[in-house]
Amino acid sequence: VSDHDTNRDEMALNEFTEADEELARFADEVRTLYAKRAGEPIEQAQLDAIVEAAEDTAAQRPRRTPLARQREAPTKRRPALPRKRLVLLVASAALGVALLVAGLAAAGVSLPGSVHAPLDRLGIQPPDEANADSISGEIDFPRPDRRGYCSFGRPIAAAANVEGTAVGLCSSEDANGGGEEARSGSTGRSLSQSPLESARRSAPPREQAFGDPRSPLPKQLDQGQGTPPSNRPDQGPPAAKGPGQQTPPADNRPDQGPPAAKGPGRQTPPADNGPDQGPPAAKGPDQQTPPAANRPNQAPPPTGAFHAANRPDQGPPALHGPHHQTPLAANRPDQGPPPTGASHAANGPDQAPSAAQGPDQQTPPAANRSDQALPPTGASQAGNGPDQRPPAAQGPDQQTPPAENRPDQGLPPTGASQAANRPDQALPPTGASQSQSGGQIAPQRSQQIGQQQLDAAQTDAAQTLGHDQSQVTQIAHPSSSVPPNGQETSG
Amino acid sequence: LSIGDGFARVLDGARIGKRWAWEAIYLDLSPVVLGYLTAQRAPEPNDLTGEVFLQVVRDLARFEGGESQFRAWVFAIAHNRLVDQRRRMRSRPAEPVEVEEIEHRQVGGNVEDEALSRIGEQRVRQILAGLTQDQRSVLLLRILGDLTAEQVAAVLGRTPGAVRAVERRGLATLKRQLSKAEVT
Repeated sequence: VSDHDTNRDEMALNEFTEADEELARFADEVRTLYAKRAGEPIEQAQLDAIVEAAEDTAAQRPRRTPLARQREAPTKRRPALPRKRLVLLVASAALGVALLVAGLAAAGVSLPGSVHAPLDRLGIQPPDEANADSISGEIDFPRPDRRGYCSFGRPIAAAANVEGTAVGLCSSEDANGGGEEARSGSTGRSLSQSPLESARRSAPPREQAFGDPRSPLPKQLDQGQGTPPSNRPDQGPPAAKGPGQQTPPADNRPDQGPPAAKGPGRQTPPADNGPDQGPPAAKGPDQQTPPAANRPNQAPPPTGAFHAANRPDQGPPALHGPHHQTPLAANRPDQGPPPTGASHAANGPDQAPSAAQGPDQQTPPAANRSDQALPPTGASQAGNGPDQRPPAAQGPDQQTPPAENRPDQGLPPTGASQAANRPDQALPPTGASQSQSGGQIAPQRSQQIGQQQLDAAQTDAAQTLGHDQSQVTQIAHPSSSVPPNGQETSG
Repeated sequence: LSIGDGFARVLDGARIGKRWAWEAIYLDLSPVVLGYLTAQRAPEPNDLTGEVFLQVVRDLARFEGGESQFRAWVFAIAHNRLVDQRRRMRSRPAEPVEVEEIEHRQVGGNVEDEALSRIGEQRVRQILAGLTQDQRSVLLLRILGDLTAEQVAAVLGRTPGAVRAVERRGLATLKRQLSKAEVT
């Protein structure tokens, strides 16, 4: 506001008020009426409060005039802050470049020469840049062909919380040097593939030469999955237990059943032409599994305990149930593998006597089976009739027939240790299928029970009489010829 | 009544909390500030005057200028405080008795003078009551505060031209009111 404008306004108001006396008088009245001092006490109180507040305010702020502070502040503050910012910016940029170079070098990136030069001058070698090849080598290792067979078995076993399975697999695989075959069979198996399917593909032929319905590997995998064997989905419902019966966990596994579980109307001749026959468990009830002896693609296994110990697809005995580890299996006469030839394949569990067949299942009697030693006497017929309860079907409260009455089972002198180490051929000691329709026992179950009880009886007899096991077998089966080399004479 | 040439020294003394400086400022401005607030019908003009000067103490560090500007600045604070008080009174309505009425009811003194004074005050109040809020504010700031039109515009937050227009209309209204009062 210029002084000219101020004077003009004042003159205007004065002229206005002076021109009109009434207005001038009114202005004086207003000033006189309102421009009055407050009371003395009020003024003193307000003055005290004002002075106190002014002193406090003056003590808090520096004693510099606002103009002086306004002049000084920019000169002090403005240069200080940019300097700090500049230093921080440069330091952060340098640190960022250093970290970038180190990161690239650690990642194996070959740094350009312009970056190398100052580092070389300082004697600094970027970390891991020289080891880029080794890093890529580590990434590539192990190659697929160098991955062992156990690399597939271990994770599966570990996932199933049965570390011993994988260890056993690997140890046995490495011991006999036969891992390549197993690797070729198991390599490339996908996780989505069912264990049974993969087991079929990966099982070596020699496993099937014994007539195993399936190789031990899927059994181990199945047993290692934590599910009780009797409750597995691939198994039928457990048989109703009698008062004195025990159902072994693995008794109801259809893949371990003998080929006797066949449909009534379809009699499949002995399949000597099935090159890729799956295990009997995969077949329906109306299908018939040919004898394993006629399978052309099944090579004879090596003889002796060495073969059994080195079988790569056999897990440690701990994975099998106690019925698989029973030493009585070594005395099973019908499963004693002969050392050579195709006749030993007739000793698999799927070729057990048909004593446990149901009434509607017509299985050739054991006497007619060429791969089994048949007794000449009528005692051997006791276990073959459909209406006759085989010894295996007997429960604990039933009398097991003496071993002498089982002429159809020969005891091979050799190869017993092999059978003893085959856990998948061991049979549970007790029978569970007794309650099935009053003696209509599942064939495979009754067969296994009968064999085991027979073995137990023979062993007990041998121990009681102090004779050798073969002698007891000779007594029990006088007509069965057991040659010294363990080959049975076909009936 | 003005501080005059010694205003700068008084202002520096007030900034460092000198009592004499604040006494000079308070005695110079408090009557007109109190008169302005009273003429504007403030409910508690004395309390409001004290709040105005406390605010002056707090904000004195930011002030720059001469005596005229300082006067306008103090009236600006007073006007803002008056507006705030009116806003509060609208939210919490109350009708306190005016200070003038309480003083007039006091017994004692010259009855003739009191009678003439009461007649004059009532006449002034009636004339001021006939003005609008803006006209009353402009004329009071011009008469009591001795502020220029520009300073009044700065206090009220308007342009000087608008203030002059309001002033003319207010004076015209006053003249009509005075003529009517003389007739009656």
